[in-house]
This record gives sequence, structure tokens and C-alpha cells, in this order.
Amino acid sequence: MGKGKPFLEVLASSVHEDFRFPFLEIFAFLYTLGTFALANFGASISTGIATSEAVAYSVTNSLIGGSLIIFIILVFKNVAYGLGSELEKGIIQTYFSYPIKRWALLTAKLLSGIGFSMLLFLGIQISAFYILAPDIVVSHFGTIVMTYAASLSYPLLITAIILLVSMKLRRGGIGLVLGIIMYFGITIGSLIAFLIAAATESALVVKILSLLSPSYILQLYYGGIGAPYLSSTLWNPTLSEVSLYIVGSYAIVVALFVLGYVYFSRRLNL
Amino acid sequence: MKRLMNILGRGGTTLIAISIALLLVSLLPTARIGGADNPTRLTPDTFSPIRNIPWPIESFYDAQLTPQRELEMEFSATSSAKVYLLTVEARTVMDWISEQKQIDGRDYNLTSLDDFLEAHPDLIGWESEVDKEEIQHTYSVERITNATIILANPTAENVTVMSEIRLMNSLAPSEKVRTISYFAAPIGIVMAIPWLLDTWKQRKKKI
Repeated sequence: MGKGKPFLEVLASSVHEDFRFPFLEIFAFLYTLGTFALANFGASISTGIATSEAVAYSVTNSLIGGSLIIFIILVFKNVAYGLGSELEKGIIQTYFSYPIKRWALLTAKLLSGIGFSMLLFLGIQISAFYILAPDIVVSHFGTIVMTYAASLSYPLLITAIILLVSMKLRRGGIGLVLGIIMYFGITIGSLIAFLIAAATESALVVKILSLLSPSYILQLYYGGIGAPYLSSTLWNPTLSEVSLYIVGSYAIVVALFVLGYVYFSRRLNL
Repeated sequence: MKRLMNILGRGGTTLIAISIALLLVSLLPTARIGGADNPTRLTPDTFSPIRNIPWPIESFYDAQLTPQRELEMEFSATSSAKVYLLTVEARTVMDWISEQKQIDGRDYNLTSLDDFLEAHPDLIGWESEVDKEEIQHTYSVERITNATIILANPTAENVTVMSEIRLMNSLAPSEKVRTISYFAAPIGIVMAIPWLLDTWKQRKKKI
């Protein structure tokens, strides 16, 4: 048996478990419907956005908006209920009979739970975007990629936390509840952060928030939501700052996942 | 072999699910969100953008088109006329003409419009002759753009052009989405049939 074969066996088994018929089909249907139903080109007109780059951002944002919650539900289900319940029921131990290291086992699980979901999400979204507005996709691909990167950072951060909680508690339910609270909590948190920033005339809270969820700094950069609370003199982020915050947020995500790998490989007693 | 059948099968059922969603999107009716339907009277060798309020008040009809917003147009005229759909606001055309001619007011001479069109041929989104017979056209775009409709009378007699402009909103370009759906569904069915048959046989065996 080659070195890669056990890994592929585990990956295939995980994909089979995570995307049992008709889960994959239902989510593909919802992604497609959500993408088209909530795409809003009119928003860029009504808000009077001038530059074509900002229009590309605004449209991408509207496209992501509805489908992101479906993506999050799918990922949370796979990580909390997939991996979490396997830990809870001890099913994960059966995988240890494969000649495969623990980190490779976790990689296969995450590739199935997060990688495949993301592939489906991005595949449908970009294709739908290309059907709706090929001109925008071709001419502003960089802006689109940056918007997706900024929007996906926070869900991935929550996923990493769910993973850690599920491994620590060996059950998925609590991790799932925590993930949902965190996802919706950031909306309220952002509102408070912007108000604090406006009241204290310090953008520090918003900067911390942007490090966790760089979609806020991107919104500020393009003059979207949140911008009215902050005067341009308080914080007017540049493109390089936006990129830096996105990289920073992914560094946090990677660090949390590395922590998960270390815990799974060395600390988790099964 | 079995794994390949599974992958193809699930790929097929996913394609079918996407096709159903696309078909659903294409079937959702479009909604009228704006438009204009005033008759435009043109004296010989003049032009006029379609107006919201009749002359002399300067209130030109402009539309903002997006891949989700298209213009449905119907025209007929008492005599021969021309219609242009330009991808700019009417004010841009009028201001350019005023600037070129160095006049304060508005110049509705056809030669001025011809000068503009000659200088900006890329702004002509669609053009057509209008006669007594009604013509219809739907103009859709793949990017966000302005649109204005200009009527011109190149003849030596007065012309009245009846127009009905409807700005329609939809979720997606119906034709395009439906075509993709029609292509994807059969491919998905072909891919899924062996897997579905196999799953059905296995269930039968279990029973």
C-alpha cells in the first residue's frame, strides 16, 4: 500500500460521511439559489458608488451575503457534528487502524469538512458571478479574491475554535452552539465597536475587530457600512493596510488550526 | 470502478440540483421597476432624448442597467425615424454638444447628434429605424452602465414617435441561465443513472 493510499481512503470515507446523499445536493441547490436570489447589483447604484473597483466589491459582497450562512452551516455541521460526534462516539479510533499519522488523519477530516465545502461554495459563487457579470469578474478579479478572502476569514476562525472546543470536550453540540453565537455576536460586536470608536475618537477597537474579521476594514476602505461612524481622519485605511489585516487575520486562523493539530497529535488521549 | 461510479453519480446528482435551482431562478418573473411612455414630437432634422416630462422641462429618461436590469422597448412612429440607445446619461450627450457648439442652451439639431455619435461610436448600444410598424427590442448588459434613448428625425416632415420603455428587474439573465440549466440537467442525469440504479439494487437486496 503506497503512502498516499491510506490518506485517500480516510479522505474518501470522510467525504462519504460528511456529504451523505442528499446533503451535497441540497447545499449545492441552496448555494445556487442563494447566490442568484441575493445578488444585488442595484446596491452599488443606490449608494452612489463611483469607482468600478468599489462596484466589484459591492456586488461581490451582495453575492457572498446570503450563501455565506449556508456555507457556515455546512462547515459547522461537518466539524462539530462530523468530527465532534466521531470523537464522542469513539469512531475516530477506527481510523487509527490505518497506517496513517494523526496529523494526516486530521488533515483528511478537515479537507473533507472544510475544503470540499469551500470548493463547492467558491465554485458555484464564481460561476454564478461569471454568468451575471463576466466583465466585472475579468477586470476586477483581484478585488473579488480579496473580498472573498476577507469574508471567509472570520468563519474559518470560528471553525478553528469549534474544532478546538470539540476536541477538548469531545462532543460537537457545545462547539456548534458556541460557533453560532460567535458568528451572530460579531454583528452586534461590530456595532458596539464602531460606536465606541466614534465616542472615544480612537479606532483601536475597530482595528482589533478588523483583525478578527477583515471584512470590516474592507468595508471601511470602500466606504461601506461602518464608514459613517468613523470620520475619515480617524481611520482611513489604505489598500496595503487592508492586505496586512487580511494576512494578519489568516495568521490567527492558521495559528489556531496549528494548535488544533498539536492537540490532536500529542495531547488528545483516545 | 465502484468508487468512480460513486463520484460520477454524486457529481451528476449535484449537477441536477444546480440545474433545478437555475431553472427556478430563470422561471421567476421579471418585475417592472421603472420606465417611460410619452409620445415624442420631432420637427425635421432634430433629435430628442426620451423625456419623463414633456418639453420644455429638461427631464430626460435615464436608466441604470445591470446584469439584473434590462430595458424592454417598443416603438412606432407616424413616419420614418431613428432610435439610438446610448450607454451614457442624456445629460452627457447634451452637455458635450453644448460644449462643442459653445452655446448656453440646448441644441437639438440632428447634425450635432451625428457629431456626437461620430466622436463616440462605442457608446451606441443599439440603433434601429422606426416606422409605422411597431418594433420591439430588449437590451441587456453584462456590466453596470447608464442608458438613454434618443429619437431622431432625419426626414423633412414632422414625426411623432410613440415609445414604451420598461425597466425590468430579474434575478439573472433568464435565457442564459435556462440554457445552462438545459445543458447541465441531461449531463447530470447521464452521470447519475448508473449510481442511482446501483443504489436502488442494493436497497432491494437489503429488503
